[in-house]
Amino acid sequence: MSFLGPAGLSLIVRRSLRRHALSTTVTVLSVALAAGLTMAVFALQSQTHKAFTGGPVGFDAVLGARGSKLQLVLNSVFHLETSPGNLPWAFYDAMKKDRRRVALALPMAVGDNYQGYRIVGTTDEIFTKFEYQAGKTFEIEEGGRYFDSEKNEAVIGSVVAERTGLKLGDIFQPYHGLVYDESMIHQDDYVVVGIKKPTNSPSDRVIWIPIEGVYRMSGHVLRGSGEAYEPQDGEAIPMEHREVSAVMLKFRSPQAGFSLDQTVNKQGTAATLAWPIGNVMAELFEKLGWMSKVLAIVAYLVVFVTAGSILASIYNTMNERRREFAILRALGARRRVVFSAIVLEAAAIGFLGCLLGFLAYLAISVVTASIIRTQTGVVLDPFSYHPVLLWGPLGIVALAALAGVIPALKGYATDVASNLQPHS
Amino acid sequence: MKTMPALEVHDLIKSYVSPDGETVPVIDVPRLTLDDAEQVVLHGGSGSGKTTLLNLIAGILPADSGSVKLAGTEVSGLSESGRDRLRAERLGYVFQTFNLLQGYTALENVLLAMAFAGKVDDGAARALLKRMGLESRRDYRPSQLSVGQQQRVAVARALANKPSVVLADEPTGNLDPRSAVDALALIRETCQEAGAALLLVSHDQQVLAQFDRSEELSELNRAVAVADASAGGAA
Repeated sequence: MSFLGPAGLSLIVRRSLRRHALSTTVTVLSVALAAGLTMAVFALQSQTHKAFTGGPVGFDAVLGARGSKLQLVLNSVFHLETSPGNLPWAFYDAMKKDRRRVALALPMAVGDNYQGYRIVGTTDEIFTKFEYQAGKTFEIEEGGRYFDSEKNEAVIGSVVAERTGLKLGDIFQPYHGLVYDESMIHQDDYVVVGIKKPTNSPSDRVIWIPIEGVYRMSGHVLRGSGEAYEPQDGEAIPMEHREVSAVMLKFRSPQAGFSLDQTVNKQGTAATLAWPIGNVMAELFEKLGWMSKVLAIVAYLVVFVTAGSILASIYNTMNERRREFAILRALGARRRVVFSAIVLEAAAIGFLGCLLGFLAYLAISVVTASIIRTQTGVVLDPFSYHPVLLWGPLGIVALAALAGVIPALKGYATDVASNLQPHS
Repeated sequence: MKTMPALEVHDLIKSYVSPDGETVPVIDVPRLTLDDAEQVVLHGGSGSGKTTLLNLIAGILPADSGSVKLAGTEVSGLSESGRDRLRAERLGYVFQTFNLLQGYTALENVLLAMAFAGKVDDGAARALLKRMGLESRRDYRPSQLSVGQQQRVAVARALANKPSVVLADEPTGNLDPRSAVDALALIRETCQEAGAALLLVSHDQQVLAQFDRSEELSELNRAVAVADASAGGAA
């Protein structure tokens, strides 16, 4: 009968696991947590890194006020963080006219929100020319359209629609600042004219309005010329007063980025070019590298402690099992059968723990991914493959088996004749 | 021609080293032979070295010198794992305390014994338990069985691999007198049916009376005789 396994091993292992059901369950659960944690630590780090550095942002570079490239990228690409400051319109104009190097330049003005979702002022080229992935432009849900640059109209991201309940035709008033504060409401009415289809990117959490709208928002003051200027109704805003928070750039070639980097960062003093965007984010992860090392060490420690608990839980049963081993031996089981049974039992605890560990991993991943998604709009794929999903469980099962070796040696050495009698 | 004896013991010696370094002989059996399917009762109480003798025959303990042959195979010449294998294949052992595996059902106790001999036969195991009157109890664990039923499982397990010899150490010692009679009859019958020789140790006169051949362990084992004599001399 195959269910006995070779030399009855599988039956011995299963009966022993059942007989010590409580300690088996507790140990399996602790292995599951350790396995889930290890897989999550490594896989999530890599997924996060991938999502933030290699994600399809659609731009090659960001031009912004002199300052931190990281802040610039976080603010303009990921719609997090505050803006490092504004640039005069002339910078945008210069980029737009630099047809030799620049394929697409989009102005971006931030400073308002609706219930915490950022309002970004730009041109309708964000819908007509910008490709968030090669060949893919933003699409508007059925019944909607792009905003009219002359009117107070807005296109909202899918997450915004979902979370705020705004629908086509709804009218809302923006709040001043990037952080939602009920008392900071503007008196301007905006109409939702389109809902952007989800692209699983930070743009899903954005409300797009014409850049002119940002300038004309009640109470906004422009300082593009260095002097304060308040736009007046029915009066065009002179170019010199206009300003942008950032200029999003798509280059014709990598050389363009290289040469602009020279002009803006090395020779210029007024602006900063964050290029390439992926590298700027990669630097952030490098700065946080010590943290992933700490997490990895914690994960390894948890795994080793768990292996120790497998060892202890089996070792503790060895005294009461001496008679059982003696009986097995008296029935003709060889020493190595007893040894293997104990090692296999430890490995089985590791294996069962890893099976549950996958559930723990998925739970941790799904929760983390959903937190990251609501906080940043960046989408992780918790089901994507990472080598740790293979070597993690394999390593844990191997380590569990190794932990079984010490009690197994004790079982191996059990004296048959003296343990066949019941112990008083 | 006589058939090959099921068990042959020659000049078997086993000693223990006492805590003060003295070598104390416990077993010194010049000769003991069981013919094929023969049933022999050994009369011996505690301290007669009965369990040690049975463990030496079973290969559970290694002998200091001498020879034990199980169905023609020399036990003392084998490695430990060789003795384990031979024990699984050729020998059944019924213990006074039964020594059933507690976490396992009656059927699993029998199947596991088969597994160690490398020939698991579910049908044969079920048939054996049925023969023992345990058909409806085969999925019970020892703790769910009466003492008499546990004893029958132990016998079924001893016969699982169609052994040449069954060793039984006071198998009825834990049973009440009536069950003991039935149990003894069942052991003898089933060993007969299986073609296994039976070497049964008992100090119960009622049991001894049932057997055609009975041996006195104190006569067979010179170590005990020597010990008794020296004890007698000191008195």
